[in-house]
Amino acid sequence: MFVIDELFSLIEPDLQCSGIDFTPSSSCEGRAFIELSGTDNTSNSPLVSKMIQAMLDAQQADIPVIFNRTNQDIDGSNLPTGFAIGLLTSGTTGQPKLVFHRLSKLMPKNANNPEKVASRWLLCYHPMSFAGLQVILQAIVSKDTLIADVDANLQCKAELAIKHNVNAISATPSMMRALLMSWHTKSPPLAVITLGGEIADQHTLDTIKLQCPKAKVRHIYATTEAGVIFSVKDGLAGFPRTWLKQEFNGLQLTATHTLQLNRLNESIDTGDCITLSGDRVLFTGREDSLVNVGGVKVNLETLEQKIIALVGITDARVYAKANPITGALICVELCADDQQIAKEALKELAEQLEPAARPRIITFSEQISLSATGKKQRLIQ
Amino acid sequence: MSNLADIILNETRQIIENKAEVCPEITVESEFLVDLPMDSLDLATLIVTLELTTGIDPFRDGFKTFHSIAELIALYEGAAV
Repeated sequence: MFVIDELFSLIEPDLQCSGIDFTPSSSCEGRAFIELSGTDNTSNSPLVSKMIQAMLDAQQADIPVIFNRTNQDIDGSNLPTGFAIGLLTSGTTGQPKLVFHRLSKLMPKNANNPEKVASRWLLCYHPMSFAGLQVILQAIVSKDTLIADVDANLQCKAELAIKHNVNAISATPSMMRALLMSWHTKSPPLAVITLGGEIADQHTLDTIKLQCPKAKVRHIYATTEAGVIFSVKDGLAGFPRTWLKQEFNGLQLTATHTLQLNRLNESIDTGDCITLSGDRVLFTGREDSLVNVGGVKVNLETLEQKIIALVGITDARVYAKANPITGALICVELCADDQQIAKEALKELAEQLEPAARPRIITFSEQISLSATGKKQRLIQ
Repeated sequence: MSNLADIILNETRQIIENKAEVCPEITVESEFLVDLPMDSLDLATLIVTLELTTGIDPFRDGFKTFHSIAELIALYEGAAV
């Protein structure tokens, strides 16, 4: 059960709601479900407000609500009974699927912490993604302020964060790097930064620490099947090796070449490749980020981490382009202040790589292209 | 010579020069893997670059054999029609 406290405020374009009066409407009686399209964002009726209203209405009528981010055809024949929230999966590994979640599973666990200071959240994710909805619910439950502009690009979101003195943010490392680039002269007073959805590499963590020294940074490890497993708060990439002996949410972690989650009769292979380095376990990339370039296997994410760590390169997206000769070809999109310095640094690195792993197509852009869920697209046909 | 032929010759030369190789004289009769200092990765780079610059992909329906510059030009000109 969730209610909107009058302390919660929502700031959307052309709409500033403080002490919002979201009263459940009774117009949904007799309906089987409520559906809201992700493309239905207008300035006089912005999306997050409509989503909150739809959740309250669905809860009142005890029916499912479907947040249809990409406006797909919905099969209404197989719906859960009672109040549940339907979200489309990111679709990284195929067509997005509609998955229903009970509110209790989505609700933040750390609400009502008496030591908590009032937060002003910037919504970086699409509100109809799993991570985006969690930020909305977190702000509602903690009676915080949420700043949302669904159609804004990351550069505009960076400006919004400064304008509204945002002090809490949840984003993928790729989104965070783009925001940091926009904040090179002035940063918002960030106190809480939560990273998730991609590998949080040491270079990114160090850059955050340098630019937002007062922020508490944590990176979350979660899987689609098991939800959030753990969060790492020591500012270091990966997680402590000693955790391999511990249980998280009833799951025992074990390491093969990928991270495995085990409970009594079940073992989940996360598909996240790991390597042991001193007292840390480091993530090196998704197993499905491994591409075959003329018979040689190249891990796109491992290569990308090496490139992001180079001098003069602020962000990079390593991707594979299909071709009829070598199957895949390594390409890279770069963000850099000085393209010449970046090219030189990349050239030096390339000389140390085997020929198949060398990026062959190099492009520069102001901001790395990200998918709707804030991740980098890896395979281009 | 057609615009596509110009692009193919220029991109081929560029790929060879990027390898810090001295580029030999390229003619339409030059065979990629015989007459030019190119390997299969360089050929793949050429194909992807050409797709990006021209928007044409003659290999969309699968691989087609080619050995010389002239044969590659013919493939692109055929797909551009």
